Amino acid sequence: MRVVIADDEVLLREGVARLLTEEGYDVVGTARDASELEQIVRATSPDVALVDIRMPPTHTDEGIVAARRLRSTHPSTAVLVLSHHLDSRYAVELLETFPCGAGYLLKERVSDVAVLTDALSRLARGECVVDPSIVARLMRRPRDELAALTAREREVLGLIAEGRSNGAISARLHLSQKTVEAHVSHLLAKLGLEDSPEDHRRVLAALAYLRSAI
Amino acid sequence: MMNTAHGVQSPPRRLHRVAVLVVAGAAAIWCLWATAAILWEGPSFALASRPFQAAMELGAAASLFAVALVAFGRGAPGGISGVALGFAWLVREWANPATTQAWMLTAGLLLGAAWLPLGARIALAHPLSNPLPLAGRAMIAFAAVAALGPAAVRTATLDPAAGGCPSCAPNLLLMVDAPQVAAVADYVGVILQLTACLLLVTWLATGLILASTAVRLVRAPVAAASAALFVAAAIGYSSALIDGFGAHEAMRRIIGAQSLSVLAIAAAIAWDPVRLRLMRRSTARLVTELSSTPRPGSLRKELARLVGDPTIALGFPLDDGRVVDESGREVTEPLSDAGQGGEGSRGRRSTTLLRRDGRALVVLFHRPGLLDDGSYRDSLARASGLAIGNERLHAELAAQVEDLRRSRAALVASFDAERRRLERGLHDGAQQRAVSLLLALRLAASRQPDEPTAEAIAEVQSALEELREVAHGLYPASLAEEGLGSALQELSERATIPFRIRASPDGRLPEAVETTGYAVISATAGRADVTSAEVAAVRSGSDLVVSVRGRLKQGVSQDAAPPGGLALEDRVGAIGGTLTSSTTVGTLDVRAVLPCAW
Repeated sequence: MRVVIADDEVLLREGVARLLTEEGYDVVGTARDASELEQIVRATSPDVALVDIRMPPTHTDEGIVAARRLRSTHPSTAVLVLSHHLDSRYAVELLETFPCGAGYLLKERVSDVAVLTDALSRLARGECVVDPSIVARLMRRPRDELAALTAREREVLGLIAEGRSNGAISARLHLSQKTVEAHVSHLLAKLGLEDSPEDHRRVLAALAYLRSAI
Repeated sequence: MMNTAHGVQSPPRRLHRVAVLVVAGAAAIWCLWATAAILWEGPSFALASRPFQAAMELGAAASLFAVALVAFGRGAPGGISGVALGFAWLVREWANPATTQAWMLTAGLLLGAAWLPLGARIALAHPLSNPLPLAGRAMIAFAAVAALGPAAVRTATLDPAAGGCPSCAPNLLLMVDAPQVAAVADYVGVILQLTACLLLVTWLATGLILASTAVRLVRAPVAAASAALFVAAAIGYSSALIDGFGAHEAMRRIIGAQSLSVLAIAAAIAWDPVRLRLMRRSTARLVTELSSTPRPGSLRKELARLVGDPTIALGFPLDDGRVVDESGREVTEPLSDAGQGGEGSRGRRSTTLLRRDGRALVVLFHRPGLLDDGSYRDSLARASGLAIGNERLHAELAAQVEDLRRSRAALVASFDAERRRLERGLHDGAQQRAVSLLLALRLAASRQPDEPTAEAIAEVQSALEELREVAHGLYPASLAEEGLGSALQELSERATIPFRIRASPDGRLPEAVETTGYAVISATAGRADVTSAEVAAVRSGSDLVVSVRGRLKQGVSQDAAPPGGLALEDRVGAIGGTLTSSTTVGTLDVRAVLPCAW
C-alpha cells in the first residue's frame, strides 16, 4: 500500500515512515505542510495520506482543510487525520465531507501498529475510521436508551460508530454475519435509527445519535 | 466683568455716591419743574393745549431719572448715562420763547441734540459692560460731533431777538448775528444727525442678528428701545428736511413716539436688575434642589432645565488630565477651544468651562450661545458649586471604579491568554514529544521486545492521556477555535452526568464573553454535588445570558474554588457582568448576564 505522511514534526514524520516501512508499507513521501503534501499526492497518487490536523502556518485545522482539498482533487486517495484532540466534532466534520475513505485518529495511535494498520487497510477499502476513544467517551454518557441495550448491542453500536462494516464486526466479535445483522437491526430499532446499506451513512447516524443532547 | 461692580464698596466711596445721588436728584427735580414751566408757557408745545404729549415728555424724563438714579445708587451700569439722557431730554425744550433764563436758552440751543450721543452710548454699551469695541466708540463720537458741532456754530450765530422773538431771553454765547450761517448750520446738523440715527439703527440691528441667543436676550430690551428712539428721530429729521420744524401734527406724533421710546429705555434699564434677580433666584433654586437631592445625574437634569438645553452634557476635568462624564467614562470631545472660563464652539456644539477660585469645576457641552453671558456663568458656577463638587466626586469615584474594572478585566484576559498559551505549548510541545517518544519505544520494542519497554510504552500512553486532559482543562481548543456553541457540545460529550443544552449561541462572541460564559457553565455543571445539569446561553439584546440549573445531591459538599481557578464572581465582574446564584431544595440555579460590548 502506498502511503504519504504529512506532519510538521520531523521526529514523528520520520518515525512513522520507518514504522510503516518496517510493516511493509510503501511510504512514497513525507511532507512538512499542506502544500508539500499536495505536491507529493499529485506526483505519486498514494492510497492513503496521513495528515496531522495542526500544521503551519496557524496550527489549528490546516489538516482538515488540506484533507478536504485532496478529496476533491484526488478522490482515490483516502485521508487519515491525526489529532491530539479527543474531539468528536472534527471526526464528524470529516466524515460528513467524505462519503468514504476518511478517518480521524488520536495522534498517539501512530505508535500502535495494530490500530494503525487496521485503520489504513480499512481506509484503502473505502471504509470510515473513527478513533475508538472518541466513541468510547460518547458511549459513556449517561443515557437511558443506551442502558436499555444489551452489552453485546452496545459493543456492536460502538463498532458501528467506529466505522466498521458488518463483516468487520463479525470478524472482530467472532460472530456470524447473520447474528451481527440481527444485533444491528435490533439495536437500531431500539434507538429509533434507520438502517442504511451504506456503512458511511450508518456511521454518521450513529455518531449523530451519540452526540445528540441527552 | 459686571459682577465686580456689585462688590462691597468702601465707606468713603459710598458717601461720595450718596452725595452725587442727592445733588443729581435735586437737579433732576428742578429741571423737571423748570421744563414743565416752559412747556406750560410755550406757544408751540403748550401743556395746556397738548397736555398728553407734554406729560409724556416729562414723564419719560422723570422715569429715566428715577430708574437711572436707582441703578446708580446700586452701582449697576447705565446709571450715569441714564441720568444724563434724562437731562438732555429736557434741555431739548429749553430753546423756547417761553424760557426766561438766558443760560437755559443758551443750553437749549447748544445741547438740544445732546440726547443723540447719550442715547447711542446707552444703546451700545448697555448692559454687557465689556469694553466697547472701537467701531462703537467711533459711532458715539460721530453722534456727538453731529449733535454738538453744528449746534455750536448755530449758537454762536443765532440771535433770537433779531430772529423775530423780541421777548426771548438773550443768547449768552452769541458772537455774531449771522442768520444765514445759523440756518446752514441747522441744516447741516439735521443731515448729520439723520445720518447718525440711521447708522445707529443699522448697527444695533446687525449686532442683534449676529449675537448669540444669550447675548440677544440680554441686549434686546435696551437695543430695541434705543433703536425705536433713533428710528423716530430719523423720521422726524426727514420730515423736518421736507416740511421744516414746526408745530405741525406729524412732528407732534414723532416727538410723542420719541418720548415713548425714552420711556421704553427707562423700562429696559429697570428690567436689567429684575432679570439678574430672576436668574439668581433660579440658580438659588438649583442650589437648594441639588443640595437636597444629590443623586448623581440630577445636576445634568437641573442644568438642562436652567439653561434650556436638554442635550447639555457635563464633563469633569480630573487631576490626571482626563475629562469624565457623570458615570466616570472618559469624554472624548476635544476641549482645546474652551478658554479661561470662556466659551468655544465646535460645529454646532459649544463647550464652556465653569471655574471657581481658579479651579476648573466642570465643562459644559451645549448648544452654542446659551452661556455667552459672563455674569450668568459666574452665578451658575457660584450657585451650583456644591452640587458640582458632589457630582464631581461621584464621577471621580466612578472613573476610579472603571479603571479598576478595566485592570481587573485585563488581568482576567491575561490569565486566560496565558492558559491558552500553555495549552498550545502543551499541545505543540509536550504532547508531540510524548508521541515521538512513544514511537521510538515502539520501534525499539519491535526489534527487541522486552518487559521494561512495554512498561515504558504503557507509562507514556497514560502520560499522554493525562496531558490531553490537562491541556483541555487549561483552555478547550473548541472554545478557542469554534466558540461557545462547540465548546458546550464538547462539554456535554465529556459530561459524566446528564447534561442538557437548552440553547447555545450561533456564531462568535467577544473572546472574554465566551471564556466567561464557558467558565460559569463548566464550573457549575462540574460541581461535585450536581447530579444533572440543564444549561442555556442566549443572546438578549447586547448581553449574553448564561443559565445553569443543576439538580443537587444531598450530603455532598462543594469545593470552595471552582476548577477554572478564578472565582466566577471575579470573572463575571471583570467584564462588567452580574452573577446570581440561588439554591432551593435540591436545585441550584446560577445565572450570569454578560455584556457583549463594554
